Amino acid sequence: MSAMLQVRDLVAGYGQAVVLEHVDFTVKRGEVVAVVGANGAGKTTLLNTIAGVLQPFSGSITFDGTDITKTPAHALPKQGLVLVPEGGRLFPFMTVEENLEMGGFSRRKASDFADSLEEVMQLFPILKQRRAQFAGHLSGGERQMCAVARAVMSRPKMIMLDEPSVGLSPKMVGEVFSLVENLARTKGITVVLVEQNVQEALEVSDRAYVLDHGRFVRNGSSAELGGDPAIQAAYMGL
Amino acid sequence: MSSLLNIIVVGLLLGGIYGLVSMGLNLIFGVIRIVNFAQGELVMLGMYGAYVCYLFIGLDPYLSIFIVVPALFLFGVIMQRFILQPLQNEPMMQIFATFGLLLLLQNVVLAVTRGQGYTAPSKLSEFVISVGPLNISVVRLVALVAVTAAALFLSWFVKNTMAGKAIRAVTQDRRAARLMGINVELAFMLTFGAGAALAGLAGTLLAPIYTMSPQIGGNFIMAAFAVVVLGGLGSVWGAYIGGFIIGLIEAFAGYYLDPALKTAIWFLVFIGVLIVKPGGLFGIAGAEEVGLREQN
Ligand SMILES: Nc1ncnc2c1ncn2[C@@H]1O[C@H](COP(=O)(O)OP(=O)(O)OP(=O)(O)O)[C@@H](O)[C@H]1O
Ligand SMILES: [Mg+2]
Repeated sequence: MSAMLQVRDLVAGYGQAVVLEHVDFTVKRGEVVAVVGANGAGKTTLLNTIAGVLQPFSGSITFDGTDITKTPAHALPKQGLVLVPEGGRLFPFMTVEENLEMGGFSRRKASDFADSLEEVMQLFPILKQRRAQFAGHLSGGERQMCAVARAVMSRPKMIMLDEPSVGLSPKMVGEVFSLVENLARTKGITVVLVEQNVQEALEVSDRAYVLDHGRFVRNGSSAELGGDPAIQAAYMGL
Repeated sequence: MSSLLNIIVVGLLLGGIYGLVSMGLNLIFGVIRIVNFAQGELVMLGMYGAYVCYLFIGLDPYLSIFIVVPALFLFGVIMQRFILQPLQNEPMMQIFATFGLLLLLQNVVLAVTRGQGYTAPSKLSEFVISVGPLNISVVRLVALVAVTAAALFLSWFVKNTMAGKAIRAVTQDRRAARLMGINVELAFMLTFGAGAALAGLAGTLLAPIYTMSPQIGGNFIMAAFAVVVLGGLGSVWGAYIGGFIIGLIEAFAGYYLDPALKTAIWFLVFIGVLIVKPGGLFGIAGAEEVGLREQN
């Protein structure tokens, strides 16, 4: 099986400040890969660089066989790569339905839109009741669901989620994670999941990377990492 | 009584003109979040464009719309792409750049025309609609109809078309818009072009009403700033209603006080509104915060 995403020797950061120092990162087709690490480790920087929001200093990024190192952010959804940014970043003065519509912007055909909308509403039943409401008036959990739903509207091959469970109640966290599993298992979407909820993230993922100060210090199968006492002590408070 | 009605009609007609020149300024501010100081000069270019069409091909200003508006759209797109876009990460410099453009355009037109005043006459100028004691100038009425049509079209467009919704998305969160596949740079170019085209429309419609001078943009831009801040930055209907408020204030102040005081009175009302409602009368609640969000 070929790699869905292949990041090689990536160096990235802001202005003069280097955040990611020569990282290599691979995601296979259909996998759920978790990236865990402390605050400020560089997880968001990694996702933003892959998504084209940040330009890397050096290194290369290949998505589904295409070099996307220099591809601008707005061209990626069309290629099947979408990022759900930290905090969701919904359009607050647009309705839930309009937000979803924007999610499908890269596909453009109105008929496609109606189909996707039905499908997404099925996956996210709460949004159905809220479709005419401003996204800015949603609860935290609904907002996160809406952000994921918006990304799914583009019918991605791969979806990257930046801390989708942050600030949610334990029950909502469970729902978000089961949704992630659902996307991967039933829709066949490849998932990269950045999380601080390390335990749950390791439960839903196939493999995981541990990021520390801009470098990957560990990677391996999630089961193996979850059973490792060093990881448990450092990231799971066990 | 009839004089009161007359003042109201004069004020509303004037308001239509102010609303028209404000529409483009507000569109550009609302979406791109820069104040285009050269907006008045774009109106001025529209007026001279109408004159040039009249001079060389004898076109009535109302017909030259079909030449001047697309020309200004193109001018706006080019201006955004080659002057403002390179400064995208420096909003202050963008504002200075529009100010530089203001001086440049004024002086180029001054040099070419040597400051001579022109008018572009229209057949419509002669017509006046008389209703009882009221005299309504048709050319001014056209401006009022045009601003109404422009406001209706803009608000329909941003609510009901994919491109319009994308523009709203860009306004609310640029980065998220990019992540949805929206080309933000292209949206800015087209929006700036549309703002310039609206200025061009205003210019052609005003060409039969005012005598042109290279500095005439300044007269309109003062009013436009008052209108836009009063009505609510970025709000289409805010600019529309704001235009009438400013027009009415001017008409009443001109009649009961002193025409020379009109600007002072606009700005008194303007400061009053800002104290009571900082977002303007029709600004979207919380829109100020959106402006402060991380925008790239
Ligand atoms: N816009 C920015 N400009 C400069 N430095 C930044 C910027 N954003 C993040 N950084 C720095 O880059 C480093 C990595 O930040 P990043 O946001 O990638 O961490 P993170 O792992 O996502 O953390 P968190 O779990 O808190 O979201 C931090 O030291 C941070 O201060
Ligand atoms: Mg982060």
